[in-house]
Amino acid sequence: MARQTGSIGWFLQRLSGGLIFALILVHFSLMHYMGPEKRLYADVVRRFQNPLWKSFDLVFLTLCLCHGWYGVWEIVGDYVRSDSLKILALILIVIAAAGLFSIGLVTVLTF
Amino acid sequence: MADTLGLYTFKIFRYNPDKDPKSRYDTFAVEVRQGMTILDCLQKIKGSLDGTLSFRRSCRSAICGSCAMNINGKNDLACHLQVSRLRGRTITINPLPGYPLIKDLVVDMGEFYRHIAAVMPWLVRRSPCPDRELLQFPADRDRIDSAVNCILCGSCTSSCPQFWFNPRYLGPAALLKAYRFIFDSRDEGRDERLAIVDDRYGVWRCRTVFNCDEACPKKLHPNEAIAGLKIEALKRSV
Amino acid sequence: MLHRYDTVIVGAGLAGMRAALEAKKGGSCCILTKVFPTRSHSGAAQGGIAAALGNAGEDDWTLHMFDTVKGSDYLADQDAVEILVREAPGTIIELEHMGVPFSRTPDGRIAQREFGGHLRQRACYAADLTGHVLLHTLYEQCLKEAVTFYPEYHVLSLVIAEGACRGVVALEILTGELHTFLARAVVFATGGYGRAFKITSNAHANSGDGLSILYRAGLPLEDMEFVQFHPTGFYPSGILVTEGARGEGAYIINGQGERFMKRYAPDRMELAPRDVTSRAIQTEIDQGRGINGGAYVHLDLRHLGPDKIMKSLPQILDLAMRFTGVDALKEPIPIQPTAHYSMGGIPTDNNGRVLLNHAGAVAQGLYACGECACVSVHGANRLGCNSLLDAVVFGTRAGRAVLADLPAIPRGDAPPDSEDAVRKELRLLLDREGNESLAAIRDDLQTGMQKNCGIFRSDSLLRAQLAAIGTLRGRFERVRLHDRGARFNTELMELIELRSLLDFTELIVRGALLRTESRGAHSRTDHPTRDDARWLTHSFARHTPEGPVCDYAPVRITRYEPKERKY
Ligand SMILES: Cc1cc2nc3c(=O)[nH]c(=O)nc-3n(C[C@H](O)[C@H](O)[C@H](O)COP(=O)(O)OP(=O)(O)OC[C@H]3O[C@@H](n4cnc5c(N)ncnc54)[C@H](O)[C@@H]3O)c2cc1C
Ligand code: FES
Repeated sequence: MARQTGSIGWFLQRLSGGLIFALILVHFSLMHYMGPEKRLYADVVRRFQNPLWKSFDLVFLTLCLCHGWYGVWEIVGDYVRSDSLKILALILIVIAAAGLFSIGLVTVLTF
Repeated sequence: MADTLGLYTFKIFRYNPDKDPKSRYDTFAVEVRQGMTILDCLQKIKGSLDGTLSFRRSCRSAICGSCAMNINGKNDLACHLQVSRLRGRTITINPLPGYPLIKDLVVDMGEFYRHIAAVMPWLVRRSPCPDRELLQFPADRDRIDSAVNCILCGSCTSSCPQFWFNPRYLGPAALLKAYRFIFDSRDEGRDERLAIVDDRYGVWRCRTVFNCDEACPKKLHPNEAIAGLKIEALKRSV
Repeated sequence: MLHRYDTVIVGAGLAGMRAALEAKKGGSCCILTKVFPTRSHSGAAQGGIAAALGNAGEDDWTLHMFDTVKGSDYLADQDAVEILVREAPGTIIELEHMGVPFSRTPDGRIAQREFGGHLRQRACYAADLTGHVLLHTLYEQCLKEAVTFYPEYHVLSLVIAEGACRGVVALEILTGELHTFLARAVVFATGGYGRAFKITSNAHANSGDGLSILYRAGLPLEDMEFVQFHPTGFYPSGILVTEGARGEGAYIINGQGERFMKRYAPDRMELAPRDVTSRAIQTEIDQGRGINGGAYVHLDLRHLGPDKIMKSLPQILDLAMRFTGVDALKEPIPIQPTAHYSMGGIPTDNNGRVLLNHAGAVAQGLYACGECACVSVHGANRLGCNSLLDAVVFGTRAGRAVLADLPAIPRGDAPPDSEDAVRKELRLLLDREGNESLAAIRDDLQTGMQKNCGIFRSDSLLRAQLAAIGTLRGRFERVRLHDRGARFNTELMELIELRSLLDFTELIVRGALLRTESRGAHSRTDHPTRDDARWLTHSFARHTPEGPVCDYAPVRITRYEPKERKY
């Protein structure tokens, strides 16, 4: 894209929003409505042996973080006027994003 | 029809930058009769209590868009709002939020008008016009009906938090104007106009807060128009 | 501050903006207006704009011309009417090409409906917001052509040097500063003066400033005694219910439940011209047949059905609810006649050039068009939908006349003291000590005009009003303003507007007093018939130190000899 109009960001937000909604439904039914009455640590470990479920959670994690961080960044863009504050906010967002993503990544991969 | 509604207290924002170090509220007691509008009361205050009270008005029939102000926390036209419709005996009147102040209830709408002018608000024709009218079917005419009815009173743009923080944002009124032409079946300037609204400070700045729809005294739906424009703009980029 | 333009236009209604689009082609051009352009009162026009397009049944310009001449009670100048109606279809098509969103027929053409006094369906409309869409479209065209606007500049007087008009002096409302606009051509398009009356359909801004400015500069005003009262204003505010409502088929009903128009205009019923219908309503009210004996009758839309009302008269539905608390789908609307339109005004030739006197001499560099001008195409009574047409057709013609004349008009210089007199006057108004209230004087003037110079007039009423205006002038000299500041002083604006009201109401009353006949909107109870032998003439009121005097000029009759007027 030669010109940054915001349309792609807007579109991706809608897209990720839609996908997250679908994934959340799966996640919720899985965690709260399906499977054994009492979920054990071992059940979860077993599920994570399956690479399909691993990738499911990785996608879920990435989408949520992207969606959330882009949203926060938009809010900063809307309401923060000073450029230096904007840069500061960007740094904080990126650090938080990177931090949260690593935790998530470690959890999913090492389970 | 001369039944009186009794005494009302008007609490009105006052500020004259030439004289006042800061703004204040003045209160006026007005005997209100059945059928009186907010504008009637303001005129009465100006005529008999304080001639310095300043506000814009002209048509007093809700069509010129001069008298938009913030009445009891809601943007509305002073001339079409009956006092009897409001709850409580105290009515608080502020200038439209979001625009620079000039004096009392008068605000500077220069930026607002510049945004309107920025969306190429005129019919663009490339192909020659016939001798007779350009045909337009009623269904096509209906599509722009609500956009055509906008009176540029500025209530919607004034209610938009995006505009408060980013006066560069075109705002709902200008986008509604763009919609009026982009969706006019006779127009041939769609691409240029879409290029203007498909911008960081155009449709993409709208966060669908819906304040504009709620603020519009003519019950138009700028937000719907913006949604329509977003889809068109997106089609352009993908 | 000094500005120079080739053309300066005063007023950003339909007439002013249309003229600007033409004048712009011949040099620099700006529009001064005391309200932002889209807030001009043209936007309040609801019903429609007339043209013999023939989209709804056979029609042609000769029929339109006959209706207009008959409607004018034969006082219109027929050569001017012919121009108006012949240029009408082309004008509408041009407006449509500019983008005006007219309502449409099922096959996509401009829809047309009936209107009072027109025997064919020739009112082109956009629901009941015709003026609004026209005004916005012309404003948008001006943006496209980059016409310069000076919004919220209140024009106060002419700049005159060596007997010619060289420009205008205006007050910038925001700052209170004076500006001189030098120009080779000045076009006045300042609109009507309904504010002279208590019950009016007009905006607060319609105070006839242009008339007063020219009158003060020594120019005559034509046919001032003819003021149109529209039959259907909301009761009690006077805000308009378009004639389009009756065009769609609404009834007028009195306190006895009778469609009384059958006694006044058996053929046309509710769609008789406005003067006839207003007199009928006023007569019913005066004779105690108002609703519950009150000062209003009913306009009934209910039989039209909700679909039609919501489609064709949405604004009326909303206004009825807001201003009278009536749901027009379920109840009849209370209405009364309301002061609406000024047939008279600044006399011009057929190209908008201002006339210096009743003999027809033309002023150099001075033009007028729209409601403030009197060509005269409306004579003693205007037909509905003809005035938007008048504003656009003669706005265009005035603009073209400017184009044609500019090469021959020299570029003058401003007299160095052009602003001094105005500045002194304003100081005087601002500093005056006294005990009179501006609002009280205005109210007394409007109430008096309504009562004494309204739908029905008589020698004694008019004399009483003339005396009252004299007294009010005296009181005007003792008005004390609260607001003496420079910034956005709307109180000062209102005072200047009151001064123009006092100027030209005297001419209305004087003209009405002298005209001892009843013609069109001018109805004398002591002279109830039309008198063509003596009064088939236009009046030209001019200023003299002893007060206004009237000269008279003959009506130009080309096609239709005066006949008795029946509907
Ligand atoms: C409620 C209503 C409904 C109507 N409906 C119809 C209809 O359906 N069909 C029809 O044909 N006609 C209708 N008319 C009549 C028609 O609208 C007007 O005659 C016409 O619009 C007048 O246009 P204009 O351009 O002459 O003046 P306006 O539109 O009144 O414009 C006057 C301009 O002059 C400016 N101005 C005035 N004084 C000054 C000053 N001192 N300094 C600077 N600027 C000044 C104002 O700011 C304004 O811009 C209606 C009128 C009313 C009141
Ligand atoms: S005065 Fe015109 S909209 Fe209120």
